[in-house]
Amino acid sequence: MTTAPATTDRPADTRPVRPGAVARRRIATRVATGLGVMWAAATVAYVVLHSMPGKIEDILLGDQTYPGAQEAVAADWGLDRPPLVQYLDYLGRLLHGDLGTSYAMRQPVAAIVGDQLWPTAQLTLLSAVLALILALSVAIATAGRARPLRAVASLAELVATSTPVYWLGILLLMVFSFELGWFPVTADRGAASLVLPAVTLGLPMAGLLSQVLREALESTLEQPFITTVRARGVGETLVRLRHALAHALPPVINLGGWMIGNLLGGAVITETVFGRPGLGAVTLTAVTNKDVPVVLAVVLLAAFAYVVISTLVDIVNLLIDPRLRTR
Amino acid sequence: MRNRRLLAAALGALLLLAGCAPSGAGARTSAAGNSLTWGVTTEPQCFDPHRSTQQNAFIIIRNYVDSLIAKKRDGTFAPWLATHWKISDGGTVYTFRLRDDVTFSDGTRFDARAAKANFDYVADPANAADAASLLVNYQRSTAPDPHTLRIELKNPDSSLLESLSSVKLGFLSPSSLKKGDTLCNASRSLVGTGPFTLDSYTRGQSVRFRKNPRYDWPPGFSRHRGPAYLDAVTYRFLPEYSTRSGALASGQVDAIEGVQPLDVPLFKGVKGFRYLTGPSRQTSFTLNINYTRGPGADIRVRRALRDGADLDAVVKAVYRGTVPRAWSNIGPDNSDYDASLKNTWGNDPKKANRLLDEAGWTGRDGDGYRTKDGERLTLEVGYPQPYVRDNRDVLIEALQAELRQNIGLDLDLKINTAGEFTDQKATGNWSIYPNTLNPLDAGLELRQVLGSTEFLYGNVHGYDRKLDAMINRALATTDLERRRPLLAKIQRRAVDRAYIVPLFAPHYQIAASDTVHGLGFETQLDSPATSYAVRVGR
Amino acid sequence: MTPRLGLLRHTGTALCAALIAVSLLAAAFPGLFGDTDPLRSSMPESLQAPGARHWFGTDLLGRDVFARVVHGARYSLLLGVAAMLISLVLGLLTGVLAGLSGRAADEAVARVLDVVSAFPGVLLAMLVVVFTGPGVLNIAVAIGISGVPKFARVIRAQTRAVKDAGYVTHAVVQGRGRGWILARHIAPNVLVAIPVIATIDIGTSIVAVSGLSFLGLGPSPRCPSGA
Repeated sequence: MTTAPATTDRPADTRPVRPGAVARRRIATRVATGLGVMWAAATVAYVVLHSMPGKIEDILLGDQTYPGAQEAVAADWGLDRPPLVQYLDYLGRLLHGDLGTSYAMRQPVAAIVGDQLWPTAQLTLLSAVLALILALSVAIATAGRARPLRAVASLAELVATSTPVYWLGILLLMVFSFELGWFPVTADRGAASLVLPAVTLGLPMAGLLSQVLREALESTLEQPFITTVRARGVGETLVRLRHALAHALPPVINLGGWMIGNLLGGAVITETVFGRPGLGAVTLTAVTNKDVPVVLAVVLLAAFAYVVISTLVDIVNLLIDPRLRTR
Repeated sequence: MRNRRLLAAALGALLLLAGCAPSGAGARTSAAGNSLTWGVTTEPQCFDPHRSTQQNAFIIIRNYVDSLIAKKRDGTFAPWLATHWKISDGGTVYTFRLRDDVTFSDGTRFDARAAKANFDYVADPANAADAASLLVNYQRSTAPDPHTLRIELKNPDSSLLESLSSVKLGFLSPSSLKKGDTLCNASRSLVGTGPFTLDSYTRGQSVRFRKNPRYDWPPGFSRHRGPAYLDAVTYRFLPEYSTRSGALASGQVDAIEGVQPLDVPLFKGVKGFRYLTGPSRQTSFTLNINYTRGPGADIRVRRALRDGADLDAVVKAVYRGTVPRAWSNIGPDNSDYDASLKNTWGNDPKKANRLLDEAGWTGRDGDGYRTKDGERLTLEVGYPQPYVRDNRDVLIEALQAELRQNIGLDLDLKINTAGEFTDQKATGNWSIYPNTLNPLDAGLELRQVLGSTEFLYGNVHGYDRKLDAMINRALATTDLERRRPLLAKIQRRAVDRAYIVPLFAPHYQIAASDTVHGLGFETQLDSPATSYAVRVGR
Repeated sequence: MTPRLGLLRHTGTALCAALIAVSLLAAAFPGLFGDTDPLRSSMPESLQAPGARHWFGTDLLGRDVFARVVHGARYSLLLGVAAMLISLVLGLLTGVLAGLSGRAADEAVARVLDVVSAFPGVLLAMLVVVFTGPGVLNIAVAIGISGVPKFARVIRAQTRAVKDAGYVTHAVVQGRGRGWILARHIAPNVLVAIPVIATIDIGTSIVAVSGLSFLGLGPSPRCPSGA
């Protein structure tokens, strides 16, 4: 996951060319297959969730036992119909934007998930940006430099990637919130309350991105065209920022889809530690309560995010790498 | 799991070392007006008193929901929305006289028709309300006049008063009831008669209440009258123990519920804070042993399991001395707890070993466990994963280690899924089931875990008929004073025959800034009481 | 490079190698690190500070933490390796298949991988634990499956690159059989990229499991995970 070796060797010439018809068709196919991926993800999740042990009626009833309860609940939720009918009904309602009703919370899933989308989006976007900035600065500053500097950077990256998110979160809370009082733990205090969660979630990712990026940068810096650029008397900083970076970025961009899954997983833990609202917290309660409609909605959302990001990644790749356009 | 506990220990120690205690605690309260912020463990999944199944949700729900009567500490009942009541000789008709000055916060009058509407709503299977299990004997209710409510039962039911004092049978405005499913959402359509009304709710974050300025009908035993002291109260959901403790220690919240044993020294006896523990009336955390199958069918094996470990030391180590070990499965603060059980069992490995020798478990295998006919002495504890909390799995692990070392018994802890347990229940195939029950009438509690019709023994062959008869007799005895000795006998029989091995008596903890006054616990629930009597100030 | 730095460099490498060796030894032969039983508890010795008797101190139940770390390493490592192997085997199969087949099959595999990637790994693991129980094998399978795409994509790309390489074309022209080419040329070249990904994968799997434990969805108590 760190490296995509086959794509790191690229030619010197990458002058932007207007994407042609091939590219447009590729993008159109990408959107179509994206929808297909979402449908498949929802279907797989639906089938798996509905074939797990334990009856949904029991989940809905909790500890209640009274005569006729099972039947009443089954009729109420349409669970007495054949599985295929239930599935098609689910798909049909999905097409109309109806995500169903939560078993545990007895509220429309769309409202539950909709409420929680923004806090999680805020958190994940900020952490992603933070991770990118950190990774870029560290990688650019250390790639190809003296060994001790690189060793320190590598060590920091290793520690960052192998530190469990919850541990980092609690540690940051203890130092910066409980002890120094710089940041609040409570999420209702505006932007300040976003800082620690974003760092918690962003730091491990920064470590990984930085590793990948430095590796790519170092192999780019060895390329002949860099020597040419340097020979023209261009300063080292400019060489790195303007010339090497563009060539080293694709492996990082290719990690985009993976990052989404990782961020969502990390968000579950981060939101629990900080008591923040968001999809992570909703996911955790939904999974532990076997709240199938909510879990399905989360799967759909994750698939959607993944499809969007990976489509964007493809488009960006098309724009910066002309070789792909003719394939 | 190890990871996490070590971390908790390390962080607790760090917090202690940092001595970050009372710096800013309580300073915020004046700035925010007369208001208070709680940090609580649990975000309610459902805010509807009739439907919620999470015990910790009621800490919050109680703020806007009142009941007909209120349970007192001595086990008797005090007037609340009913001023007095009468039980017919046969025990099947209860007549309540209601207060005439009570209104819901939407202005609707609370009267016998509103009360009847609530009970009818809960009892109707179509509404799938969790509280329906409290009304299994409910026939119907009538309102002969606006302030008289008659409840008719199918059978005499000694647990009815307890049920009526429960928040689960508290009252919502008849207009709220019409909203059905949507009531689970914390919206303003949740209208009760309680001392607070819902102001705002942010999912995953907090719920805020405002005081009900007209409130003047607290439970009969309340020392405070009139509206709540606080203008507003916020409950912040902070599920992580260390986060809650840190938030209180650094003054970011005023009070927290749920303090892990390692964090207790941060607040207990520390200047600037107060630390309170609640009563333990609910069932103790108990191992229920299936006495009809496997090695557990032999009373000698069960008694060896019961007495083979030093439970005092185990509970003390795991909970750092913050909770008492249990003697019965009924909590020690319950008026129906049989105190005579104290010091009658446990910690006698010598006798336990003798019993196992007698039972023929005389062989030993390579791991040091006892065997009989080549088979290891194993008793499986099936603990459904959703109920694992509060280090209770660690407690069982400790017991496991002790029993292995002391008597060579393999107490095999298996964390399983709720689905697997459902299957085991259906076939009567479970072996040992550890649990506590939500607060209920003690008679009902005993029936739930030992009765022949309930979830554990409902599908088992060869249950103890004598015990079952004792339970049924107790439940039909409406006079609670006369019932008490019957319940004590049931507890003694269950412990003596080692059907149950009670482990410890859980209780709620509150830690707060010392500027917060009037904190307490609700007897019926064991959990922190509403913020009605809470005051803030020096 | 000065000799000092050189020494430093070798010391660093040696230290890392030693650390890895010790971890592997602990996982394979925990008995080498003392005969303290990691399950042996002693309530009066609960939560003791590190000392001569207990190098890392004791836990809540008075169990020796060092012994538990040593024995726990085994489970963590096993879990990480098992998850990685599942990802690797499935990734190899799908990656090579996609790399060698025509466009249609390649596309199909890519879409299947997309569907798998669309499930966040943690969500998949959480679902598996809640619905099938917190068994070590279940968790390894869940984490392993969600790791398939990253292996498969790299392997597919490598296979493509190797397939078009001169020596393969040459072998085809020479009339060598498919199996021979696969074993002789493609497999060795495809596998070059694997060790790096695999190593990192073991690490991330272990961190993922610790996250699950935090959420209360970790492996069963009998098989403690990690230190």
